[in-house]
Amino acid sequence: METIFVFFAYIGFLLLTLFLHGRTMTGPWFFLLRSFFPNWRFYHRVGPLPVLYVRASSGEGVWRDWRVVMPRARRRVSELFHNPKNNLALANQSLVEHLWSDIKAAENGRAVMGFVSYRLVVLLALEAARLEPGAGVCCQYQFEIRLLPAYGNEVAAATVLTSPVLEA
Amino acid sequence: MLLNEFNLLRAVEIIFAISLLLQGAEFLCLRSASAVSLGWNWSVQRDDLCHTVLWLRRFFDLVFRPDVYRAHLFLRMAVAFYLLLYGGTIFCVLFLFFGTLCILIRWRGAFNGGSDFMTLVVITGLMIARLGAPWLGDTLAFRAGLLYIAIQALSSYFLSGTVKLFYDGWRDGRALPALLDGGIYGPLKPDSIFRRQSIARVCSWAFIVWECVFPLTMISPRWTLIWCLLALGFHFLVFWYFGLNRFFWAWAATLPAIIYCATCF
Repeated sequence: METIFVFFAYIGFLLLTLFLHGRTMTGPWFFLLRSFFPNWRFYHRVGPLPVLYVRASSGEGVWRDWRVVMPRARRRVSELFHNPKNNLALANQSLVEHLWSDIKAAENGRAVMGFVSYRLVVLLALEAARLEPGAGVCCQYQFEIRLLPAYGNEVAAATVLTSPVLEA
Repeated sequence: MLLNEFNLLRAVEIIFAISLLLQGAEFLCLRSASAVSLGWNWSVQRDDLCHTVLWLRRFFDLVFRPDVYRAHLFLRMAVAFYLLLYGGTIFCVLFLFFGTLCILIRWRGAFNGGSDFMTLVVITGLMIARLGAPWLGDTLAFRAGLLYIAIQALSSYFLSGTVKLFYDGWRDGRALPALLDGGIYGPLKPDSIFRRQSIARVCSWAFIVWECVFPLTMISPRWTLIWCLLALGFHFLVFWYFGLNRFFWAWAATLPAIIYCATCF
């Protein structure tokens, strides 16, 4: 009887956590150690997806088209056991999502450029510009963060950040 | 009795060790890739710690030096192999716990989201069991460790299900194809069956009901066993459609703890 009571108290507590929202915990250590505080809410909402776009130039003022940098792969059963490239691609996408969170929280546009997330995305974009299929020498590059609408809406993607032209 | 604390904690350790070995092999692969890759550069990322004291930053500079980081990954795999063959010790679980913390900091808090959270939960449960044993005795300490893992795992299923239940996008089936479109194997083909709202709705509700009901299966170990087998199928689907292989192994390691929890009722 006592066990059943504890069990239902536990279910009740979990349900309460869904409805009661206290102050959001923030801070650099909280961010780095957030794995200690899992909220277990996976894929619970589908919102606009921040995505990295990159374009490169060989330095003669001619820019190639913007190219989306999104994790995309072919499915293989063996990846259940060994899947480093795809996991890295997913970690890179998480980095872009963290940059989007930082952009939303930033007081002004210039502050964004000092963020670690921005500076890491600069490197990610450089790598993507260099690895572009058929690309020759990359002298300059630029990246954008665009919000792709959810549910396949026909609304065009909104650009939320455009980097300055960067030297490769 | 087969389903006692000792056997089930050992089962957790074996599956968890396999999970750690697979993670370790992936990290080693990424480490060699990072020799030519620019992303996740520690010289940039170390500014995440700019608020901390100097000695701590210096400590992480040392820990994340490529040769030290590589040695740590090899050592971690050796300890995981020991865990697989012989079971946990206090040294073993403490090393894995603090090593996991370092790796999480290297990847800005999480490399693979939920699987990192669950990896930390399992290692914490093993730590409760192994550190508590000298004071509480094996039976009580192992029980505490297993129940900690089970409560977290059951909470993960229940919360993940109920938040979907309260979201109309999941209830009417729109969320599933949208998520699959954005997934690593996406976008879905135009004629995919998941684009049919009726099928997407049935699949969504199947996931929601299965996740929400999971804690209720504690009333019977037989039902728990069935739900745990379904869980393996569910996590395989998550891998198959989203490429999240680490989730499969991280949650598989919790299933013996959930079965143990059912035997307590």
